[in-house]
Amino acid sequence: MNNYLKTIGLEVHLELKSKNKIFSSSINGFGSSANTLINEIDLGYPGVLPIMNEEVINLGIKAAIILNCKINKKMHFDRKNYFYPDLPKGYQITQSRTPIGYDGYVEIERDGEVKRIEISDIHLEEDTAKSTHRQNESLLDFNRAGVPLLEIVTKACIDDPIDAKLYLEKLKELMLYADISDCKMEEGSMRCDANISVRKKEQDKLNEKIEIKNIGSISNVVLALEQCAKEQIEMYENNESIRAQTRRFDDKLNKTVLMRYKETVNDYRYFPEPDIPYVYLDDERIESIKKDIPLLPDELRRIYHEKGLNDISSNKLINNLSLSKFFNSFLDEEIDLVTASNLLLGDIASYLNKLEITIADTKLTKDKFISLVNKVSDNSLTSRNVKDILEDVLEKDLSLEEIIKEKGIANITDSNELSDLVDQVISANEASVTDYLNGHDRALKYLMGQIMKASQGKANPAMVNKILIEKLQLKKKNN
Amino acid sequence: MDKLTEEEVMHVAKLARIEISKEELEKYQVSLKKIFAEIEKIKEIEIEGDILISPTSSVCPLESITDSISNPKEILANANDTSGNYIKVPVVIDHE
Repeated sequence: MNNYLKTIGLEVHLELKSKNKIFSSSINGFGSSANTLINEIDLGYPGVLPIMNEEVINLGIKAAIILNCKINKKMHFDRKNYFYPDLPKGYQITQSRTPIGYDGYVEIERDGEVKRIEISDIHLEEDTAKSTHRQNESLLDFNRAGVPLLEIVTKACIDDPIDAKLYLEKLKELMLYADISDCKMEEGSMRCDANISVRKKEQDKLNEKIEIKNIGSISNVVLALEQCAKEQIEMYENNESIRAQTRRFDDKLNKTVLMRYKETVNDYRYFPEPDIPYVYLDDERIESIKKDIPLLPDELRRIYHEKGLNDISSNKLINNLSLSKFFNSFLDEEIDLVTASNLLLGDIASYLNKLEITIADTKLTKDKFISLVNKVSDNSLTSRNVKDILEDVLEKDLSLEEIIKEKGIANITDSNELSDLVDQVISANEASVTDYLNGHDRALKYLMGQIMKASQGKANPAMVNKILIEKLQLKKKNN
Repeated sequence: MDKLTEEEVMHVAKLARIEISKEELEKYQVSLKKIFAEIEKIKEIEIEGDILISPTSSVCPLESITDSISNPKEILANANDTSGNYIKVPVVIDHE
């Protein structure tokens, strides 16, 4: 096993989040009833003329910039000819000679080391209809026909399935943050094909590769590649040869299954699509798109770190696009961002997860959140208080002050009052005080509990803790 | 060589999904060869610049297109066979 090298390349198809399809005015949507989002162009009727959707071009440029690609400023589309019922025209409109972007890369980080995964090209094309195969018939839904796709092709430069996974995760993160695609593998808006060949370490020439089609999840990409490599090595060890072929990964059986041997490339007979004129991308357009690219995960990680968030909180925020977007709107505010992230990732996230909603579905306004963060960071609200008022904060149109008033939350933050409370509890619990002075730290917790109880939960715990320790230290000194 | 091989003609037929008889095969070996020879001649012409007809680009500027929602009934009426809202075609995969 160990004297073989793996060579891996990945092809990812992303459905772009444009309002309309790539060449027609039909809505680009997922989940509608079959054949309701279609017109003559999507169906490939004779004599219709595709029209280039500008929004799709702009999304393609945005992706090219983010993936560090060079941009083809004068590009055209090509026809890729093949027969299949999901493609009634008999050809797919795609880009072969002038992909919108080429020679790019994505950086991944593994064990503290940054690696570049090189991208050979990214190109725009139309999706085909969706087929559902039954025993004796196939059913076609053309809602997907003409949905804009961006195909992102890496060079065969990956030598480890784990790097393939890190690349896919990074790509997904980037495309989500830039609002290019919603990247849902389960809905098919992100699809991944992988190809892999193996060869002996001492051999320079690459062996025939095997393509694994439509892998269902990023974690399955690793499993499928590992398994496919193992199968190939076994064949070479048995002196069998390998023909270029397409397989699929069966995750239940953990093995790859042959689909077909490859037809030769020329059979697609690519030629320039004469129905779509050249597309010219001027610098002005490219620059204005560049300006509108939001903060991307790597930059966000750096900013979060600078603002004092730890790595765990940073990553948790970045993994939750809507929370992160909300959080980012406070980056320039004078608030305690660590408290803000703790609130978002703690009580607020659990509330949202429980109801399966996002922060945009709540009544939490920017101002309300700022007041909440300030009150928590200056200790006027305890974590208990936050739990008590959170539902109202998220569900009611009232301001934070109104909610606090309505809930009757009045915390004792007056230090004289707190000091009296602490004194009372100390004198009533001499045994625990002695325990503490003899080094039993747990007695402190008990005393804290007693003080909170005496205040009916209204004392500010941080302040109580400070006063209590001060008083106990004083006693220790005097003993 | 003044005709294509049988394999070449059969390959073209396969790509075009047409069935041809033995007589047709012999006929196409000659006639397709003539067409291919013309294409070879055209390929000799040296062209510079645009491979597409560029004047069309001025009448079709990039534009954002607007919504349309279709009526599946009208569309399905043109299909040979349907099932619910779906267009039905002969099965296209081999079941394992």
